[in-house]
Amino acid sequence: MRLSVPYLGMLHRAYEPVLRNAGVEIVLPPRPTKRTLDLGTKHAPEFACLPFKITLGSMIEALELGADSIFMPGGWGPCRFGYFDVIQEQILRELGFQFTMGSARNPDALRDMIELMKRIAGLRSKAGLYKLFFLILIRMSFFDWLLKNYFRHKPYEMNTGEMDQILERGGHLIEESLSLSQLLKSACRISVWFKKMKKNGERPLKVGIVGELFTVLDSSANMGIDMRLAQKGIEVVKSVWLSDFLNDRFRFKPFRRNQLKLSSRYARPYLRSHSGGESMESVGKTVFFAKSGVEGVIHIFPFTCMPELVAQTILMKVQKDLDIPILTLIIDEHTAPGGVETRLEAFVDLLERRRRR
Amino acid sequence: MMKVGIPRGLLFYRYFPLWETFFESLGVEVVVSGLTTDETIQKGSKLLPGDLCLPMKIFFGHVESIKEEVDFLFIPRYISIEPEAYMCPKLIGLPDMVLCVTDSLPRLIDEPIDCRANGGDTERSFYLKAGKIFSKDRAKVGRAYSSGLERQARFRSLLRKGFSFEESVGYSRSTNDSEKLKEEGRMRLGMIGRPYYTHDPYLRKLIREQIEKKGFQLLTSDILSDQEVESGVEKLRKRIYWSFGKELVGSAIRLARDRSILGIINLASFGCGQDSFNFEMIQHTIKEEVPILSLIFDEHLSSGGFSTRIEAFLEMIVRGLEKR
Repeated sequence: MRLSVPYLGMLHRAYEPVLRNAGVEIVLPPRPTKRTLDLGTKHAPEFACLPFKITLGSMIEALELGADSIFMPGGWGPCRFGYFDVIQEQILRELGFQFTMGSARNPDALRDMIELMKRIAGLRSKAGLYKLFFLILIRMSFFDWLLKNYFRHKPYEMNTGEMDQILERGGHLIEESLSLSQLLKSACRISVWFKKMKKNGERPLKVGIVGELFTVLDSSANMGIDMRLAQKGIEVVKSVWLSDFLNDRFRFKPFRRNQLKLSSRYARPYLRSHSGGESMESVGKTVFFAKSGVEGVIHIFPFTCMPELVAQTILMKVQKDLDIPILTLIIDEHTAPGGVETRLEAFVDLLERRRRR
Repeated sequence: MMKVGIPRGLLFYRYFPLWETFFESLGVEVVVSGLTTDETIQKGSKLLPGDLCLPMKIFFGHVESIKEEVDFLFIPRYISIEPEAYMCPKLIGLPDMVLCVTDSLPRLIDEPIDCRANGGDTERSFYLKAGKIFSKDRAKVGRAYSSGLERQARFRSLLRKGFSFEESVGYSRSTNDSEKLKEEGRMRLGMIGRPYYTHDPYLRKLIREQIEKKGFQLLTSDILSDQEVESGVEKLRKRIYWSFGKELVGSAIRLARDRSILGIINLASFGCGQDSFNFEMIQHTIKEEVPILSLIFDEHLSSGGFSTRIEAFLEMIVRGLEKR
C-alpha cells in the first residue's frame, strides 16, 4: 500500500512523519509546479476550479512515482468539492492508472474518517487509529500556530530574515515531535525564539486574506501572496486555517471557538444562510476584520468558484458599509505572478495613502 | 389589493404555476416582469461582478425592472428541494445577493426552502410561512398550497406531453385534459439544460428555434418523469447531490438510451461550476452512444456564432443518417 494525499498548505508536514512512523508507505510527489498545473488543466473539465486542477495534476505525479492509493475526502454540499473524488477517479482511470481512491461518505463525521483511514492506510487497531488521527489534527494546529505567529511578528523584525529562520527551524522542530508532550516542549522553545527576536515599534499595515480555503492556504494556488505581503512588512491575518476548519468538525481543541459559528454571527446582516464552501467565513471574517482594525482585505478565490462568487457580490456591499478596501483576486491557470504582484503593490499603496489621510 | 412581484428568471421557469395559483388563491395580485430583452441583461450585468453566470444577470435585470411596481418581491431561498441534495450555491445566497446589490427594494418574501433532512422541514411549511403574511387563516393557506400543487402537477404533465412552456402555463389553469398532436417523422434530438436555459424565450430564440426551424424535434428533460430521470442515474458510482445536476445527467443518459434520438445538445452558461462536472459525467457515460454538442453562452450572445456550430452539428447528423 503506497498512499498519496494531495497537498494543502502544510498538511503534508503534519501527517507524513506520523503515518510513516505507523508503518504506512507515503508517496510525496514534488510540490506543485507549472507542470502539475499543466497536467491538471489538460485533463480536467474546462470550467473545473483551480484546486481541482492542481490536485489532479498532483495525483498524476504521485501515480507516476508509484503510488497505488489516493486520499480525497469526498462528501456532499453545495460546493463541487464533494464530487472531486468521483470525477478525478474517472479521469485517472481513463488515463490508464491503476489505484484505489479513498473517499468517505461524510468526511465531516469522525467515524467515517477513521473507517476511511483504516481502509486506505491498512492499519488494524481502531484505538490506535483514533490516536493517530487526533495526533495529526493537533500537529496541524501547531503548524498553523507557528505560521500565525510568523505573520504577526514578521513586520516588527529588525534583522531581515530572522523570522524566516525561526519559521524554518520551528517547522522542523514540530515536524520531528511525534507526541503531545514533545509538541508542547517544541512550542515552548519556539515561543522563546519569538520573544527573543529584536523588534522595532512601528505599527505595520494590517491586511486580511479571505476566500476559498485552498487558495487562502496553499502557496501553489495563491502565488504566495501571504508571504509577499509579509516580506513587504505587512501584518497578515487569514479568514480560514486548516486546523480551525478541522476543529469546527472534529472538536479536538475544546477551548478554540467554532470559527464557522463566529463567522455566521458577524455575517448575519449580509449573508443569512451558509451557501457552501467558505462563503460564510469570507463574509463574516471580512466584517470581523473591518471591526477589529484590519485596514484592507484581499478576497482570493479560484475562477468559477460558485460559493465565493456569492461572497464577492455581498462583499461589494460590505465594502461600502464598513468603508474597508477589498481587492478581489480571481485565480486560474493563466494567472501570472507578475500580474498579481502589480495589483498587490497598487493595493498596498492605496492602504498607505489611506492611513496618512 | 396587495401586489407580489415575481422576477421572470431562474426558478420562475420551473415553479411559476405553483407560485401564481398559491398567491391568487390568497387574493393577492401576481405581477410578473416582462420578457427578457437586451436591456434586462445589460441592467443585470451592470449590477453584478463579471464572473457570475448569465441566468443570474438576467434575474437581477428582472428584479430591477419590477421592484418599483410591487409591494412584495417573491425571492425564496431554495436551499434544497429533496432529501440529501442541494441547489446551486448562488440560489442559496440569492435573496442576500439581491438585498446587497439592489437598493430601494420592497419587502422580500425570502423564507428558506430546506428539505435536506429526511422528514424535516418541507416545502409545505415554507408555503405556510409565506402565506401567513397575507392570511391569518392557516387552513386557507393550506388549501392555496394544495391547489398550487395540483396546478403544478398539471403543468409538468403538459410539459411532458410536449407543450411549450407558455402553452403549459396557460392550459394548466383549467383542469380539462389537452392532448398534443403527435408529430411523426421528424428527426429527434435531445436537449440538456436547466429550465431557465431551455424555456427563456430570449435564449430559446437563439438556440432552440434555430434547430426546430431546420425540421428537428427537440426533447428536453421535461418530457421525462422523475422516475425515468432517477433510473438514468441509478448506476452511477456516487449519487449526484445537486437536484438539477441529477436531472441533467439522468435525462441525458435516458435520452441517449432512446434509439430514435440522433444527437444531444448540452446547454450551459459560461463559468457554471456544477455544469462543468455534470457535463463531464454525461460525456463519460454516453459518449460512445450518441454525438454531443455543447453550447456555452454568456452575456455577449451572438446568434451567428451559435448557428455555425449548430449547422455543422446537424449536417453531421443528417450525413450519418444517409450513410446508415
